[in-house]
Amino acid sequence: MTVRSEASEAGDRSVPAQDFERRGYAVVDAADPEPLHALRDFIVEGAIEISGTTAGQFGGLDELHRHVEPGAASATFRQRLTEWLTARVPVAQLVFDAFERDLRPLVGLDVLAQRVPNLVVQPPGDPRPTELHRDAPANSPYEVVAWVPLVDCFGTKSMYLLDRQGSADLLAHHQTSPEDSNGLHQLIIGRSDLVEVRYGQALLFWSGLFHGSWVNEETETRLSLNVRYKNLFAPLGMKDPLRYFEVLETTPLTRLGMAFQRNEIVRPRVDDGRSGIEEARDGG
Amino acid sequence: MVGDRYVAVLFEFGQLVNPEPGVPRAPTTGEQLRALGRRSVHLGGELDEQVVAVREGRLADSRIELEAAARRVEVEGMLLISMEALRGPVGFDLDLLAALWRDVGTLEFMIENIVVHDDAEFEALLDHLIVTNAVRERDTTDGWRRLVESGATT
Repeated sequence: MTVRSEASEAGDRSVPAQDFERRGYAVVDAADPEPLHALRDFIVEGAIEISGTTAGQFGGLDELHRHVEPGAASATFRQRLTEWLTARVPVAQLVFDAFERDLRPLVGLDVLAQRVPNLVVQPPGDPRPTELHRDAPANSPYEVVAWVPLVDCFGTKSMYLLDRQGSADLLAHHQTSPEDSNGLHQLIIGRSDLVEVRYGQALLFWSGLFHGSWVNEETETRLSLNVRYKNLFAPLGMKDPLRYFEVLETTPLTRLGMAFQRNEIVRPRVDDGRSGIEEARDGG
Repeated sequence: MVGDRYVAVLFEFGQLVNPEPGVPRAPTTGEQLRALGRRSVHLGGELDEQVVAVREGRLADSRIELEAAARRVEVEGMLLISMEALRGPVGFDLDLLAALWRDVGTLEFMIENIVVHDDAEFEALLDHLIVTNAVRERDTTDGWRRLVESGATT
């Protein structure tokens, strides 16, 4: 059996793809920023409506803290904005379209995308940052997270992550010294990267990396969203694939294969132009 | 006026622990029935008096009951608490799913938030399930395990 040990297509060997494989993450520019701009416009519209302010008073997404209190109010705002957005906009598709050049070499041509994106609002001083964690497990280790800020993120307004080696070392430390929380904290401080990601960019990171955020000590609100992508045929994680993912794209060949299997399930019949489903429901 | 009637399909989880990470426990059958009842009202109808409960790992015991319930002419649709109710010994039972869809106008899966009202929606669901079954089956094979362990990746 011949197995490729290195990606051979020119696109696979782009700098972001190399970075991604070496470190487990890469910061990339939107090759097509228009879908991202459209997404941000929707988010601004929703934020204005939900916060009960006006466009004139709003002042931009990184001024959200002027309209939304930290803590419980911020969490409620986030939930309402997520619902507002997902009811109106195909978020995963827009993010994929904006960053397709760099996502495609990672997930291929048959793509699953997270059905409901995670929206994060981190006002200055909010005492509830995201705790250190990694997505896989329980998510599949064959997933990529697209972390997309809708504002410029820098310093503690951004998120931190540990690269592949750092994540491996952190895990090893925890396994050998599970009680040493101080050592673990020092390891996080010493090995994590606070990644600067500007609006118009995305941080693409592997689901196996440890990451989190600190209390936002900057003077602006961070508003970001994160969406996960994986290949349709990649191994599943523990999370319910039907609840968590939807099919975003398939190749013509995959569609032929699916149709073949579908018709075997619905029922074999002579092809008269009607789908097996139509025919079965009509009683033959 | 009598609205549409929906058959509630409950799922008796084998352990009262939800397999979904971060969720403390699975819903009880009483909670499931109340939730599906509210959903039927939201759809402008009501639950049929017949309720089908599927026990985890025992789909075969309920298969005939499910098919018979779907065939009843007064039933508009089926509201299933979870797709897990259709999980057979080797993945989701897609033959059963197709049989149910042949006889009802609505299929809903509450936990997965999946609604099937027309053939296009059913087709999309079926495609996703076909692949999910295939991937799960492959992931448990010795051949796949050997491939991963061999390091023949990237």
